[in-house]
Amino acid sequence: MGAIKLIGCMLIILCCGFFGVRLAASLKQRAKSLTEISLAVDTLSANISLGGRDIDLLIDEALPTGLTFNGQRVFAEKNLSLRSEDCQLVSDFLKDLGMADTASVIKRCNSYKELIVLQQKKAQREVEERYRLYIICGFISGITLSLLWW
Amino acid sequence: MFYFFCLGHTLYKKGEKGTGEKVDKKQTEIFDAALYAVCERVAAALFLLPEEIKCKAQEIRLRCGKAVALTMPKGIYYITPVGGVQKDAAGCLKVDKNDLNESFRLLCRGSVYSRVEQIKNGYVSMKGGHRAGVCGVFCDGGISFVSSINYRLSRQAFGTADYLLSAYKGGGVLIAGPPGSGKTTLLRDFIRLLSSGAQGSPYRVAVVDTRGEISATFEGVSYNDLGENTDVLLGVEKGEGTELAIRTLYPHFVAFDEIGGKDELKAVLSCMGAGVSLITTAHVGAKAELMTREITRELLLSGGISTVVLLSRAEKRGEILNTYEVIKAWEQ
Repeated sequence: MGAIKLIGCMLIILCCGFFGVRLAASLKQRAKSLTEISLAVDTLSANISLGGRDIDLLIDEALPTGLTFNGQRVFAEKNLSLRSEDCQLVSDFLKDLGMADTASVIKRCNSYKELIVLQQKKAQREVEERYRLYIICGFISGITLSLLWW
Repeated sequence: MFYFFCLGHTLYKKGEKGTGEKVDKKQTEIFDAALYAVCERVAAALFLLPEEIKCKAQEIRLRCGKAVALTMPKGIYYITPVGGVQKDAAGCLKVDKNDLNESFRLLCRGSVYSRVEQIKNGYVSMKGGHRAGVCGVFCDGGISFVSSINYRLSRQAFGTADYLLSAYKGGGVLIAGPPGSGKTTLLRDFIRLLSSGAQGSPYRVAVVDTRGEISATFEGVSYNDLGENTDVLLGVEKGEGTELAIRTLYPHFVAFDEIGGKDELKAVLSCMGAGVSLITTAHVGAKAELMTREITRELLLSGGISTVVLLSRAEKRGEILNTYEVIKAWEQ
């Protein structure tokens, strides 16, 4: 009976720990995705300055894998760990991006790049503040639950 | 929504009475394909038009607050919301500001930045070789507040220049006529005939196609047949392109549309001694204007043009004139 209880406790701790690790990993992934988006804005800006090609092609090429734009809003795959506010920011940036002359479009790219970088810095700060916390909290909550159950 | 669209179309088709006129499917497809650049609301009504109308339509005009207009060979018609046409604008499908903005966005494929130069010149090239004239408030960045769009459908008509070719005796050719009289269509077919050797041996023709209207080139794909021995210089100014063509392509003929500026004329005149004949078009309302309009007068007096084709909106075939006779008549 004791052995079963022990295995049960171990499972609870592992599950809670895994949950904590996943949350922590999603924090890191979000920061990484925002860095990729910020690089995509640079690529987009550079390609627009070359001129000639249509904006939808350039957007398709520049966006990181897992991120799609349908002309109105951006859709992100779950594994990118982006929040709705991030998607909203990128959607606002991409919507009607090409409807001005090159200089204005590049200016817009630069201002949104600053916003995305700001968002990325926030995400990075969250990683620094909460990455360990989430992992530790996961395991601690697992241990607490096991103790209560014991 | 699509269901109602299909239902409406089916009901309309059932009630439609055929005019018995022969419908060219290819021409209908050209019309339908051009609708990609028209906003959904207007495109749905245009899509429902009878095929006899579609295959003859020359222009689609959208003006803010006005009814959608179609330019046909026999005049202007207005579109009803269910895809009918009538001579009176009352009760017809009206265009609002949102329709124009949406159409402009579709026309530019959301990429105004890559078409700024065209927009500054008042037009946007379309897929299929069509051209849309855009009106609004022009500014440094292109255009703001689009007030009207005129979609000019490009249709290649084979055989329109047969009569010109049979009367042609060498030298430069000026195709003159009012807007919409078919100058570019005739020019295009004449180039094709010369280049493909319809007269005997084929000629090398260099086409300076500043706006991509002659060759109907869009994103590097040419939609019109200009013959086997034609080289097309795209996006270059006419005068500069003419010099470039003579220097590098060694053509028998240099062709371009709508001679207008003095710079173009100067470049053309400087090239005339090179043994290259010029084929061009000019906006001329009537025969008398050939010598009263400065640009055509100087062109004719330069000696570089031997044949003038004078087109009118009423007649399909143009009047072929000898330059010498035109000048003589003017001097008298």
